[in-house]
Amino acid sequence: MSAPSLQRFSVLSRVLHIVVALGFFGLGLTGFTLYFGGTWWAQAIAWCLGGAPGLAWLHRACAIMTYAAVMIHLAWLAYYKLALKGRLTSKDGMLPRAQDVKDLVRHMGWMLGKGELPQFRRFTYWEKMDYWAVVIGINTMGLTGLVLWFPEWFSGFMPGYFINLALIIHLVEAVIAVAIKFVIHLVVAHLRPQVWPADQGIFHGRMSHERIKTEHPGHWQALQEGEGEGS
Amino acid sequence: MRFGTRHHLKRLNLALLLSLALFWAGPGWAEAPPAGEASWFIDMQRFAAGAHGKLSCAECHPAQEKANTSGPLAKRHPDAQDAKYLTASALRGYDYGQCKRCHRVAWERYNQGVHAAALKKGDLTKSGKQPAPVCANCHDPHYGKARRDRVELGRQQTVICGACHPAQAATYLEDYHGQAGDKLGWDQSAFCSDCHGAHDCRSLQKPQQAAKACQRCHPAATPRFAQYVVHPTTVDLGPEDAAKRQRVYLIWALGAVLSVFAACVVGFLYGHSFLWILRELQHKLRRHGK
Repeated sequence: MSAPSLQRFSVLSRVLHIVVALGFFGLGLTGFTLYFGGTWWAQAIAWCLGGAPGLAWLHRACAIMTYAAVMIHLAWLAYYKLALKGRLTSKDGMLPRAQDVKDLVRHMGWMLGKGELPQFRRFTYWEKMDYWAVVIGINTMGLTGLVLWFPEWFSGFMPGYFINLALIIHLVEAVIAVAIKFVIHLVVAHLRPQVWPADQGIFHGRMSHERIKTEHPGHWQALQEGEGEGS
Repeated sequence: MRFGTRHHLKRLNLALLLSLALFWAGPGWAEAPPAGEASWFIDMQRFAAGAHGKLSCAECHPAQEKANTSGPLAKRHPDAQDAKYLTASALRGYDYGQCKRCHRVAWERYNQGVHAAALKKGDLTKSGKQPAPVCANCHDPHYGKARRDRVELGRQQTVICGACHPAQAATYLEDYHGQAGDKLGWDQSAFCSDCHGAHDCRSLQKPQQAAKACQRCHPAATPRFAQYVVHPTTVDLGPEDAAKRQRVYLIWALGAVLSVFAACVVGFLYGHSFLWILRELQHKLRRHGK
């Protein structure tokens, strides 16, 4: 990296991103192979992965891997807050703010040809949405998935037809998750004209001053005024 | 070789037409009559390759004046002199009491089960339903093979049971048991008869009864566990199934609400991304043009 740049993602975040991406891919592949089990392509994939028991094993292995990655991230946040006395609630953090809604409205106005681009800070509203979709989604998928994994134990304290409800939530959320992560996230973070062909920042962790000025002008200004967090 | 002459061409065309006709008709000749439409005519070569291939005709078709058992399946042998003999149903006219000689347990279970009870009530076709199945509706007595594997038998059950219970077959195929067993061929999954029994065919309305069926694979299953709805359909539900009807409605309602939610979220985000890409393309092209 010859151009001046700032660190945007820590080593831990970069590694966890890859783990979550791989785990999520495995979950989607095995889960939808089961759901579309009657089709020729799903039967070909199932045959390669060891049939229904192979799919079940892989799905659970990927689930544990993905869930562990999110838990490690949350443990790091707790350590950062409690032991390192860091701040999680600044304007450059990941918590949603009222400004994000204003940014969304303004951004859509810009798409329709009205007004200027919002002065995005370190993390934009769509990046926060991608982040919270994973943090919340992994928990609802994980909880409903556990009900489907251990139905006997869960029916010890809840009605058996809750297994049906868990299955529906698991299915619909899987459709949403795949539609968002494998299409919206890839397109918005990597494939849209501005960042085409790929945003490598999540892999090497850095963002050039040039890009910060054009894509996160609010953040750049805050850095110049000495109040933004940029490491 | 004068192959290109008109004479040869005519022959060639004829041969082509004939083979096309054979190709079209061939599968029809080769296939067995589907279960439920037994024929009076038997293909002895295929019979010899089946599970009953070592038996002689008379072992199952003795000349009889009257039925040799009682019960709904007992029938007299039709009168061979009767002009309507061959147009009567071969499947419905057979005296299935003969099966009992070798298949005693299956016979007894069938007679304790819901299909025998339905037959006893009389001709169900009058109420618009199919008549309850007899042995040969599910078991091809002449061509059926022995020692088939669980998955093959299970898939056949989905088709045969599903012919009269289509809503149950469809919901089974949407359920994990159907996805893993029928669709992906996992022999440890549950097929129709694993829960309902092959011959008594219980409907498992009572929680205790259903729990017993679950326990065959899920030893810790309780009646509450058995509240899980394998067939979320209201088809065939009676006034005594109000609890299940409520659960099915709840399952459908949640599915509908979540589907609308998913369509809104995904639809908004796809539109958002599409607009965004258009705007950036326009921006790039305009800058390029300057």
